[in-house]
Amino acid sequence: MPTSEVIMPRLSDTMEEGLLTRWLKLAGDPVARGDELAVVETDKVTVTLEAETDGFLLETFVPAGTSVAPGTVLALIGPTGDRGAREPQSEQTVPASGPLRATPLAKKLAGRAGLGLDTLGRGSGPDGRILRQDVECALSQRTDDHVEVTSVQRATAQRLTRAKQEIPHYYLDVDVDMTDLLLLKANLTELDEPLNVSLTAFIVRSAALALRDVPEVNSVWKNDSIERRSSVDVGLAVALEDDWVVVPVVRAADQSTIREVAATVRDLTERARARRLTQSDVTGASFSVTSLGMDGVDSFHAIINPPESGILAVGTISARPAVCGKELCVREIGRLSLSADHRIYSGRTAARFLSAIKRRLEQPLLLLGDL
Amino acid sequence: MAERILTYSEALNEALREEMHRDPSVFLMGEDLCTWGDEGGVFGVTKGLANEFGTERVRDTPISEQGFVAMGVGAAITGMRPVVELMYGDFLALAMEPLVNQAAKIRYMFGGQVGVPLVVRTNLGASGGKAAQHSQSLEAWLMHVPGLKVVVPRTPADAKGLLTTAIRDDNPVVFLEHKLLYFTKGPVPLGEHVVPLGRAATVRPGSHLTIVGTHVMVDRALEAAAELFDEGIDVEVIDLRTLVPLDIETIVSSVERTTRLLICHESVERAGWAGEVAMEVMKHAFDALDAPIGRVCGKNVPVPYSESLEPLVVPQAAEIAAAARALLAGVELSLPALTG
Amino acid sequence: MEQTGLNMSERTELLGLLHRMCVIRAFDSTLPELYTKGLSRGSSHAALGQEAVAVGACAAIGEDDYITSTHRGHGHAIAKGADIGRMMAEILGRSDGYCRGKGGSMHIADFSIGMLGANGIVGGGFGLAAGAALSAQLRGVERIVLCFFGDGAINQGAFHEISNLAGIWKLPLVLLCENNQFAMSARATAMVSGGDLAARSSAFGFPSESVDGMDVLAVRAAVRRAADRARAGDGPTLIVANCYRFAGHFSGDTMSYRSRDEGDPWLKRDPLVTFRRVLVEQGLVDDAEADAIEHAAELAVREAIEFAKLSPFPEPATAWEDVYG
Repeated sequence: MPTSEVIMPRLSDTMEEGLLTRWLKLAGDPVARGDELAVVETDKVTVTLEAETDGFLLETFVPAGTSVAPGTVLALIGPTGDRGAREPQSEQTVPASGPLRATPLAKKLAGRAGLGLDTLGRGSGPDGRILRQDVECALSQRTDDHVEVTSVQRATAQRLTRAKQEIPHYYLDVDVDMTDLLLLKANLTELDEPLNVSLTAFIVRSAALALRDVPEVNSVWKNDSIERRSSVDVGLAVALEDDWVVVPVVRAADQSTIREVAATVRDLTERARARRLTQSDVTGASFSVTSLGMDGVDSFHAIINPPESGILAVGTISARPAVCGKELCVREIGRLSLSADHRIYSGRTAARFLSAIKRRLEQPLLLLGDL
Repeated sequence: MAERILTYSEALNEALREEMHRDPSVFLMGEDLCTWGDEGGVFGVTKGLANEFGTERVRDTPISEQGFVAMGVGAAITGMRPVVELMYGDFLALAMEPLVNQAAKIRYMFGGQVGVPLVVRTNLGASGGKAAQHSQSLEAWLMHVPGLKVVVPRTPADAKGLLTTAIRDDNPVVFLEHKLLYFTKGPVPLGEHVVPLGRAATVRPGSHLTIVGTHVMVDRALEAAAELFDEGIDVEVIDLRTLVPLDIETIVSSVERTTRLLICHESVERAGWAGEVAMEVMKHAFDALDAPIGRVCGKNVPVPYSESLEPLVVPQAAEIAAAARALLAGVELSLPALTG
Repeated sequence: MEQTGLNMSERTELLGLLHRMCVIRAFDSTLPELYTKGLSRGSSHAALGQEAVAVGACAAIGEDDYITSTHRGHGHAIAKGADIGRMMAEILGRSDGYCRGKGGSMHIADFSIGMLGANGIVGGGFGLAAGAALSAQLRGVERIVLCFFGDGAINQGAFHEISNLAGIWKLPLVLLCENNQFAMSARATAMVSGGDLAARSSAFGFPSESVDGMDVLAVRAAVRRAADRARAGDGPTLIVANCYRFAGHFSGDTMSYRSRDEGDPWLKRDPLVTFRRVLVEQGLVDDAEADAIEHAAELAVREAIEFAKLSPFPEPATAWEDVYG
């Protein structure tokens, strides 16, 4: 039986490195095809690597807590005793597997400071046990102008910087009267079969219908050319507890009923927060929606998630004075801000697209289906 | 308070004398208390007392450990405060029935009708080739019996103060001396001197590691601490002084500062009280620990006779120092700044 | 039966002896019932057939004198004057028991009447008794100690150590061996080397006396002689009271080790029956009065059971009390 390599998989187009969070098998353990070997985290998802063959995990080359590029050999699987061609690395190599060892005091101090022990590497105590001094040393380096970031954070930072620098962003804002939408939203909950639709779901749905109306926007920038999409897949930015943002995708949002969109949005949001999204959940959108409405922001301009063509940012909806006919009245107004990629479409297309969104939100019955 | 330098043995003698003067219900029983040697028993503790108080109150007994310890219990429940001596701690095995089934139980099983103000004095420890039947440290047996108190004085002053307290205590107290300490000297307060049971003494403050011990293990820990200090390791040493009640607060507050604990006892390691102290520390201060708790104890063998073997089975200072170094391996230490 | 000196002037005391023997008989006769009804637990040992030893011996000593007892100790406590309500409450594990429910049948004690405790360890009382005797000697009080023990305990090392200690120190101690013929299933005839229990004292240089343990007056007389010696500073005496354990070792004993009828000669000499007959023959009591005494004893035991049943179980917190004081 030959040895086979376990490699860091490429999990997305934009993946530059993956973090091996944790080994689930130790060197020497028997493994069967399908056994879970390790947990790998990218900037977008967390996945579990599975064994593709039976045998023994002969050797691991990458310690837990390390980021490596896709394609890097993580471990060897083979019949017992066969180390394959690869010789063990020098004796100083940190044992790649095994439980993290730390003293109770080190754990307490790290926990109190919000410091992940897995970011500390090998401790200075016997067998690499993490001691108080290791935690204190790590904490002393965590100052105002120097915050440790994980490799995943670093990769994300690079991607966003490149997006902001490379994409010719431009911005359009429009105020939308959401009064009728809020009324409809409330009425739906009072149906015999109550329908709970979040504002986000209405906005995803309106964006999807507008993408169908304006196909120039339903495109991505790829290899210096425009790729027009046939299906309408809308990304939805979800903020996680640790200030992390993931963007799962609502597929064929134009073809789905509002009930289905609402359910999909709920499901994706829950799974994102539970960190249970898969790679396929987060790829393939042409356009995204993001909201800080719940955080009391009037309006903001988001960075486009490449290779998408734009992103719609939603601010707070609040009661404001408005003109109804010739009278002053109070309406529920929210501001939508579109960040658009000028390489893919120009301002008038963007305006048409934004107006298509606004029209449906202000006449929300249009969102329930094609009327 | 005025102090003189006395030996441990003289300090014990003084406590007995003062309590016999103070309280006519105090009397002494044991083997060879009155006329042996210099008229003071094998270790001189009762020297001169028979002359002073008469052989009614300082009684030589036949070699009947079960019998005269049981009589101590009977006297204690009928108005006396007997202080009974067992010549060697190993003979506790002969007296376990009255200690364990009678003295320790009577207050409880009779519903609090009566207390048992009995002191059983004896000694522990290996010294000078007394071999397997005269060298044991059996204190853990006694700690395992609710109803008994267990006292382990180290200094002459504590010997006097703790024996005084033990005699005045209304519970059975097993008062464990150490053969190597009888002729060590130290300052002892003149007159009334009482040391409460259940209060440990921090005999050397330190910041890197706490060593807990009793009897000569404390002296050996101090010896190790002096050596370690030259290497930059600052050890705190605690003398427990009593094992029941156990002063866990002092140990815990020390460990909370030093984050490391080493426990030393001469009695054999297996099922020794180091395990008890370690569990209590884990219960109260688990999160304070920056290293696993260590112990240096007697080896799990009987004490051998030969001078080349005996020191191998009883912890020595070098072994304690080595264990301390191992607990601190890899730790960057800084000594506290000198002040003053 | 020892009958000398029986006269009307002693009538009250003699009827008192009969009454106490009847109370012991009634008390220990209820033990199987208490157990099968689930009112008692653990072991309780009946002294049926041994009533004359307990009552005769305790009648021979003073109120201030001490006794130590055995695992088969209800009779000793009753004979020394313990309250049967509190005894019964203890056996039922109740808060009004002598030990607040923490001792049970084998650990009944009443220090206020000098009853220094039953003892679950065979031979456990020797040292306590000798220690109390030493205590009395040292304090210069005229108290003696009566140490009850069985034919099983005479083989314990403690008997020999204490006999020696009591002998050399001339302790005011009466060592009263109730030879009821059995140590659980072991016969004294098989377990006592030499066979003569009373002979053992001679090695320690103090006198002994064998007495008919079925005769309350004979026991009383023997213990009086021993008590007098003790009080006079002449040291200990060993008394062997020969009697018979009518019942099993404890309530559940099947008695497979003895034949159905081997006890018959002893049963014919039932100490209650013979003492009652003597009192009737001597004209100190008539049958009606004797019946009334027996009936009163049974009634008192019934009342003790009712008292015990009404007593609450101990509060949980008491389990943690009195380990130290």
